[in-house]
Amino acid sequence: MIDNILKKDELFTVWNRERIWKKYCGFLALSLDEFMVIQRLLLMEQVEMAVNSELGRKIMGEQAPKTVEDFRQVVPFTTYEDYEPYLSDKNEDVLPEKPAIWAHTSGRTGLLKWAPYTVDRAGRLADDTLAAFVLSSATREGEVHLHEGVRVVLNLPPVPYVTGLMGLVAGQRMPYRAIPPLEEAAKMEFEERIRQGFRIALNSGIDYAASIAVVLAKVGEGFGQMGRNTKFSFSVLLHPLALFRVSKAMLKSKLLKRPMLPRDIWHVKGLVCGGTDTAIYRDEINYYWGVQPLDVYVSTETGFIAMQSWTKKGMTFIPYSNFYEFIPEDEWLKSREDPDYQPSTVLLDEVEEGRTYEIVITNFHGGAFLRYRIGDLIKIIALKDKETGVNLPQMVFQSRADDVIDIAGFARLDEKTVWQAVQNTGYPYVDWSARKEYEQEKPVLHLYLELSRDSVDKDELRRSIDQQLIALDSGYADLRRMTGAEPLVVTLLERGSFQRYLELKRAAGFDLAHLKPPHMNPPDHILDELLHLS
Amino acid sequence: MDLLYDIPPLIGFGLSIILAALVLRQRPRSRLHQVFSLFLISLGLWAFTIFGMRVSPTLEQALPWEKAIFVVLPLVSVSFYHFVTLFTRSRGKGWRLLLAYSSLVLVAAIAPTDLLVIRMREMWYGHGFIPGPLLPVYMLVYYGIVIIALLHVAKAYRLSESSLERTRYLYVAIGVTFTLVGIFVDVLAAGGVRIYPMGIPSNILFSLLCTYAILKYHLLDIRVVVRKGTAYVLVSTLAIGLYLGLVFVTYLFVTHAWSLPFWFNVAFILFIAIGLQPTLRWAQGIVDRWFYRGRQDYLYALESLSDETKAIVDLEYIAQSLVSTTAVAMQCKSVSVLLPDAEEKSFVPVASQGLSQDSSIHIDQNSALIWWLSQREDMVTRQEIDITPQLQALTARERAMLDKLEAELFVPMMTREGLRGIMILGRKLSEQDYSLEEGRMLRVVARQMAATLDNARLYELQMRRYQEQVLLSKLGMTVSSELDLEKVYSHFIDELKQVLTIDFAGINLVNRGDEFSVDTVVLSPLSGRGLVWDATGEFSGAGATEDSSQTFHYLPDLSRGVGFQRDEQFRRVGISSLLRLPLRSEGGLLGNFLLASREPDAYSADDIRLLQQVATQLAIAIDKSRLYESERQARLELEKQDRERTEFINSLIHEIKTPITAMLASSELLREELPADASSLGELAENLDISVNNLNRRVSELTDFVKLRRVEPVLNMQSVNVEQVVKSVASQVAGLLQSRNQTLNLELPPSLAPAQADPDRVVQVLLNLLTNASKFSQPDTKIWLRAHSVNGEVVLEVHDSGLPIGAEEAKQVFNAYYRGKRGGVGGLGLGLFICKKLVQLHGGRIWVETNKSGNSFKFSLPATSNSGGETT
Repeated sequence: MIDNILKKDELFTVWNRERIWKKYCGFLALSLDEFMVIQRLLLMEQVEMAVNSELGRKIMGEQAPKTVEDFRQVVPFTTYEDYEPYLSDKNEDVLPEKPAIWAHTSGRTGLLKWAPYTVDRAGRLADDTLAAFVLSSATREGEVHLHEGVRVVLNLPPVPYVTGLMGLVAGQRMPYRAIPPLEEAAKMEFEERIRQGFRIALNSGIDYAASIAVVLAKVGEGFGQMGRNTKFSFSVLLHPLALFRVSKAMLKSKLLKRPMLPRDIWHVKGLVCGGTDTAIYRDEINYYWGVQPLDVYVSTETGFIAMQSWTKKGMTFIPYSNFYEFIPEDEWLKSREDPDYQPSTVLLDEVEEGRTYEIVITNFHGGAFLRYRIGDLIKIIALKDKETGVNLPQMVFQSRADDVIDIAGFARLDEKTVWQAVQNTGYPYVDWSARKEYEQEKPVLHLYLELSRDSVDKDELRRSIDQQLIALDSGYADLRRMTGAEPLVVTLLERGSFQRYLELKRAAGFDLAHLKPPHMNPPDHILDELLHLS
Repeated sequence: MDLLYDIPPLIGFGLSIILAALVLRQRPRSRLHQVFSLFLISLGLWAFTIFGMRVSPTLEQALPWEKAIFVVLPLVSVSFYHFVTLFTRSRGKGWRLLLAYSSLVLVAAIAPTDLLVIRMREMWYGHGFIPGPLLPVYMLVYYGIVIIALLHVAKAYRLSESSLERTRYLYVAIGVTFTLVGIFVDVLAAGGVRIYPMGIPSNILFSLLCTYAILKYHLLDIRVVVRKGTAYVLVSTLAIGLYLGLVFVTYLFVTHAWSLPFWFNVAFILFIAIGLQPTLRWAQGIVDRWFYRGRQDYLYALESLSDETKAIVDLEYIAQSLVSTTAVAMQCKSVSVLLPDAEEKSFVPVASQGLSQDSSIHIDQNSALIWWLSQREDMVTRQEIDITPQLQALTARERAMLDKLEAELFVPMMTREGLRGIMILGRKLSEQDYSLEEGRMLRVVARQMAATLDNARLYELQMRRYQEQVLLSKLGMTVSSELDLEKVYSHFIDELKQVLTIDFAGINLVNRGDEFSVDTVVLSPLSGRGLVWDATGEFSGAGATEDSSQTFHYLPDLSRGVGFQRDEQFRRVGISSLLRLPLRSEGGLLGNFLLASREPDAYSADDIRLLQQVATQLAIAIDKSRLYESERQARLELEKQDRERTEFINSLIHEIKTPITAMLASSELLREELPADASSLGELAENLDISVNNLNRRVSELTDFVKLRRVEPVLNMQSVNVEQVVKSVASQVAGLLQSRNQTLNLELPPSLAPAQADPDRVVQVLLNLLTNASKFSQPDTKIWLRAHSVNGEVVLEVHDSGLPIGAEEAKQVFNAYYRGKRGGVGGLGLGLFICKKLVQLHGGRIWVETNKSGNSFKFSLPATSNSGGETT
């Protein structure tokens, strides 16, 4: 495992809650002016560091911009392709500062995207991870339940994924009990890690969990099914605490005349989830686990960008790790049509409520990425949060910038919308993929769906999804009204198709991110493969 | 009623209830205050039940009260435990508290029985009780709870990072200890030991101490409470003691003393009231000396520092006074005062104490710390910097600097213009936190000193600017008046030394090949002049690298960086700071001006700015000196050429003079032998004679020319009748004019003044002018010869009818060898030059005026001094 690079925070040892809140969650109390000042100061420090590095000079030129405005005018937008020659073989000599760790994620083309983390960036990642846990268990401002030794189930990819890094560095800042232990978890497969984690948790209990939302939802669903048949391993139940928990849960479920749920077994203080589907599974998770998950916006190249507050509604940007710029949607569309077009950007104090933007980030603290387009669309849902008193713009993750299906210029459907539509129909499903196709020279949204059960009226299903899309997307509704056409086509895949695809890819040694087809716009060969397996 | 036995519980009851109300009133929503109020109320109830028990006339009446005590006592313990868990932020298990509170119900149920108290009995001090069988268990449980609370406090004390927090815990621990001791004494008293039961007094003391500190200081500062409390107790004791003592004395010695008149009592109370404040101050001073152990004087000095330094403008003195006084008063490891630099781009130290040599402080104006201090206008601790969200924007360099400094406290110095300085204090020698009182004092001092320091800084800046102006002015005068570069450089260095720290200085210049000259160490100590003037006339020095984009190159500390190889040379001779300023002129780079000091960081941005201006002056001086030198060389060359030419002519004259003399004689004889009108040979002889004579004249001209160039001829000055001279010349040129059919008109006024001149030279000049006039006029034209007197001069004029001379030519016509553009008919171009020289020797002037009719060559001669001038 990676050596200790961070200092332990004694605040958790003495458990000074007031100071813990101020240090970790204090960004929520910043005014917009203060936020912008912090951004400016840290950006100019980063510029000074970057101009002394080969990579920085390649991106920025030989002369360091003197102001934020200069920086935005002089430095071009970048994508990973600009960094790939340097970062793919982890060349440290070109970087503004020597990294302490490297994290990676899978790119669309299958190549790994590496991101260096300096000690300061790792420190920020740790702090933000702890902040997420604090907020996940808070119901009011200043409420801190996080302390040393808490039990945390981690259902996230291990190091060198950024999620693994989060768990690792957070543990250096504040010792906690990882379930399963980090070193063991790193050697396990994803499903085994989940299984083992909850098995251990039966004995140990759970204070917090960090997971992808769908995993929590599926586990919860699985408990519900399991509860009916009461299939717990005998060896598990040998442990008195596990026996106590399960017995208590069974009794409770019997009294309430419902299946046993995870919340009957564990009294979880907080759940931290990342990913586009957290909002979709929020209510389900709340039902199964008894607590609403806290949504966080993290990426490998950026670390934490934003997280929800204790009310678990909009996400607030964190000013310390990255400089944020926002490309308005109309500018983004122009740049999609013309790759040479340099869209204009606005800063956080210029965003407007209700508008969608593509986010552009510049790392602080010696990071590598400058004016980097990570390819995400976000929406500003409010300029303040009156409920919490947070005076910073509130955002939600909208979709990947490159995962949008445009139907006849009316409907621009993103992953979240399609997913929500499928989810809302109530039909149990395994997974899906969608892309734009042409039928009789007309564009359609073709949805390839695998249900969890057979004997479904396909037409009824299609109508149901169609109705959901109309309700969710005004552009889609307009399209239907204007053209009278039905732009949705649904193909039901045979049961087990996605599983077979997964097994095939795993056997071929594919990375975690490529074990299933992308939801939106899968390449032809991937879809063909899926259909072939169906 | 036994005052000592019965009253204290009543006092305790009243005090507890009042205090509970005050505590709750101060922060009604605070859980901590609520629970502490509950604790105080339970203490009050306990005291009240004890009072009830003590004042009961019979043992039977006292018994219910005693039993009530044992119902209330657990509430005291449990509420205290609850308070401690909140106070120490312990992660107490909720169930323990729930269980503890639940036990009160059980106790309330068993208290009326004989299990805790069987019955009452009389003790030496009052009512006592006979314990029941469960009393030991009861005592164990509820005093055990108190001891557990004490352990929580001890743990929190051990884990706490803040000395202030540790003081709080210590306070609570002391209070609890008082209580436990008091209770232990109670138990001993109840067991028959002849000792006054101290439970109530100890609890009163405990609650008083805690409550006072919470109310007054929000956080407990035990020293301040005890210090102020001691002063008040001292004064109160003195005042009351004095009053009671006086009453007692009066009673003893004066009959009917108890009937002191009312006015006497009022007068005495007034006396005490008036004298109370100064007495309190005196008592406070004594107590403060006990507490501060010698620091008191420094604390007072710190408080009065602002008043003392208000009128002083010596920034260094003020800042150093502040730093040293603060360091002693606060007993801290280091103190620094930072003020804005000249450009107001960053805060730099002006005085410091206790910092290590290699600590360099420099806080950029745009730093998050500056922004925060300006916004907040209040001090911030190092701990707060780590947790304050706005200060997460501190750069890594700044954090490293703060860590290295071990800075503990940052005190802003604010004026109406905003943040004008920062005082940075290191950790205290005792490793304790700064107390609230110390913080208050620092705030006051900072506020008061801010304006004083700012004014002194601005004054110093103005003085500096003035000095710079004076310096630049002096250097400018040197540049304009001095051409010797060595002297200029020497003067520059002498002036700069008065303003800056300079131990080494030097210049190296670009030679004509655009390369730097010899690669040797350029800098020399200032005991010499620091310049090496080599044989080529250039300065030799080390080849510094040229960087056309930079206006200077500064190495503030050679010991810190890894520089070029030449840096090692500089280090070896003891140089720490090295500054190179390019010397540029319009023609490009002239060279470099180098300055160095043995001190690191010797040159501030302000100094460099000044030196850049100095370098500009120096470059002008070098440019000027070079120009002068090159012109001097050119002039010398011209003079040399002229000398050579003159020598050549002289030699030539000598060579040809002799044969010409022979030719003259021969031609004259031949002409006499062969008259021109006799035969063709005679004509030839005449021509030969004329030509030889011409040649002779040219030789004479050359001779005159050489003479004039080599030596100044001696003039035979006398008063000359100009009219006679003119007529003599006219007759001499008559033949020449006749040959060209030209007419000479003389215009001479009758009373023409005599001139002071050499008549032969005047004739020579007139002959030359008339010869030229004849030469350059057409045949059959007129030539005028005029003279007149004006303003003490005699002006002679020869006017010809030749082509007018242009203005440009007029300026050159009197130059040697100039032969004109009018198409000369021979000659060496020396005639007019010789005329000019001769006229100038007379003190006169010669010039030419032209108009359509021709050219007027005029020259002036001084009139003889006794003559009156006439204007013609």
